[in-house]
Amino acid sequence: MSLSEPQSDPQNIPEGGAAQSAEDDLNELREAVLDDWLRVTSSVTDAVREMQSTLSWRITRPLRLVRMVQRKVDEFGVVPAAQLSAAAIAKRLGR
Amino acid sequence: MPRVDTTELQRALRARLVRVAATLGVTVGDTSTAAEVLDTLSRSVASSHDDRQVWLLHIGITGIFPEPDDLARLSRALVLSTPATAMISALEGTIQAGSRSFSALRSIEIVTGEVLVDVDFCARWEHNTGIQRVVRHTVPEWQDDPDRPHRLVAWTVDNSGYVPLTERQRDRVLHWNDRRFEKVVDDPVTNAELETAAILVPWESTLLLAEVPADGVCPEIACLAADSPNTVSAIGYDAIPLISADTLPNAESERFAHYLSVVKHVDVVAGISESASDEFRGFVDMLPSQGVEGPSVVAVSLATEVSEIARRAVASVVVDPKEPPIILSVGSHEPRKNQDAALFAAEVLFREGHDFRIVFIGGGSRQATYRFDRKVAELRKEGMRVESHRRLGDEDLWSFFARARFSVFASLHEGFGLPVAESLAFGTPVLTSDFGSLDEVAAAGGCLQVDPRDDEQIVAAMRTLLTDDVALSGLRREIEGQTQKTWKTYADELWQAAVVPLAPAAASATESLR
Repeated sequence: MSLSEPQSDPQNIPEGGAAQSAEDDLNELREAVLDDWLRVTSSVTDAVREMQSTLSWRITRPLRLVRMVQRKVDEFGVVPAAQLSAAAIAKRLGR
Repeated sequence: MPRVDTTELQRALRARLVRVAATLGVTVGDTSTAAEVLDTLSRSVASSHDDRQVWLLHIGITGIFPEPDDLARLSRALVLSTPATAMISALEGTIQAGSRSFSALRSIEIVTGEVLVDVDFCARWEHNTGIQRVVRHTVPEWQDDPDRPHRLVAWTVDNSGYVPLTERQRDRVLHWNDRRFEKVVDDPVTNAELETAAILVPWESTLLLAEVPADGVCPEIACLAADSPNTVSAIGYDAIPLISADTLPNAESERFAHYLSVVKHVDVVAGISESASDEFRGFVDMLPSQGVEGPSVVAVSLATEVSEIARRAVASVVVDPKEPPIILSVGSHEPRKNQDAALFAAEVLFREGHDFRIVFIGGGSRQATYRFDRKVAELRKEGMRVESHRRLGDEDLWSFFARARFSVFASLHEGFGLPVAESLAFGTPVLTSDFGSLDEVAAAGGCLQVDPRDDEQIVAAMRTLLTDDVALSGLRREIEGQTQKTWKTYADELWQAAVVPLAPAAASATESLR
């Protein structure tokens, strides 16, 4: 609603118009909430991306590979995890 | 930098929600915005009070499969909402799950009324022992069979949804002995690939868990089994990590306990032997204390045949009559496999002056093999012919089966006992245990059975098979008359037991939703 528009007397607004106005407001609110939700959820993953590009993230990569193997042991068991190819780690290290 | 423009995210979300709406029979306008579609859907799902619909809505909003906690959070948020606030409640109920994965740009394909076979580990890893061998023998039997249409699926690397297999992954599952691609490790999945993955969502479908799922996906599968309109069946390999926890690292038992949180919600467990089935029946018997019915358990015994390639390889081996008799022990190296007892028995016979060669084949962790390998080295120094091979190719393995006088597999606990079945299929008599699944496999004949906890019995049986040609010939005759169960037969029986009975249940779920 622009300031130049004539101000209506609320008493004279037809009931259907008020309902429509409220519905429009609600729709606007829903759009805004969804937009915020998308920004929030993607900002968390964006933050992960940013962290992954930092120097500290890159230099701790070998440590995380060790953690990865430990996780595989937890997930798949000792025998399969122990036999996970060294090539997998080499590949992660980009060698 | 955080995204400032959400247009792309809105477009991906809307596309997912439109598919969910179509599946749930909710009408949405062609020109509706993502928020309008979500509003319409949220109102409809909230009014349904149906967790199956909540499950699908969760995937539509987040692009990831919910865990039980995620589903409860969304379901309760919707129950507390009014029609006007349903959409906001839906977003509130999914913000946690939506933030934990790179999934905002994902697309979904809702797979309705089909069969999906989860072969995640076999698809992703170049590892081939017990379970993987079963999967890689069985699943190829269903390929191109018009009566058994199905899709092979694996998990995203962050365990958040099913994806179809890549060609390389299909090769690992379907062509293990006849590879189309070089054996290499998959490239790491990038965040961008993860974020734009095309997720397969089963709906009123049947999911067959051909493997024991990894720990990380158990909550998602448990939720799918308990709260989606899908039916789930599983191959029941064994309950060794619980029943024989004393022989395994603690992590294995903990992992298996989480797997049981899936098993209690599935519809059918097809045990690989009567013995393994009894273990799962025992678990089901414990479930009334939780008010859970649990799956029906049927036994579908594994195949006992070996591949044509292996048979040909064995047939072509020329046995050197001057070679000392070979005793073969095949199996991954773990305490419950009882290789220590077999080595002890061999040492006794060596000190008695018998001339033979004993060969152990099978991988194992350093923790499991270190002490054993040291003992082997000590005995070799004393002149005993003993070998332990940790990494041996199939060709060499088959060659040993062809040349062995007999094999030893006196395991303390097995789900089936493939090394016994394989030995018999190659015509090689077996010294094995006298209970559990090994007793079932040995019932075909060709085996000398012992109590594997009794060293003296193992020594005596090994001595008999080493020195008594008449006894050995008797076992060989028993083997000659045997017909091996084929993998095709096993695959047929498994489909009949684990897939066919669940199809009507999927159909009835459709009816109740309408």
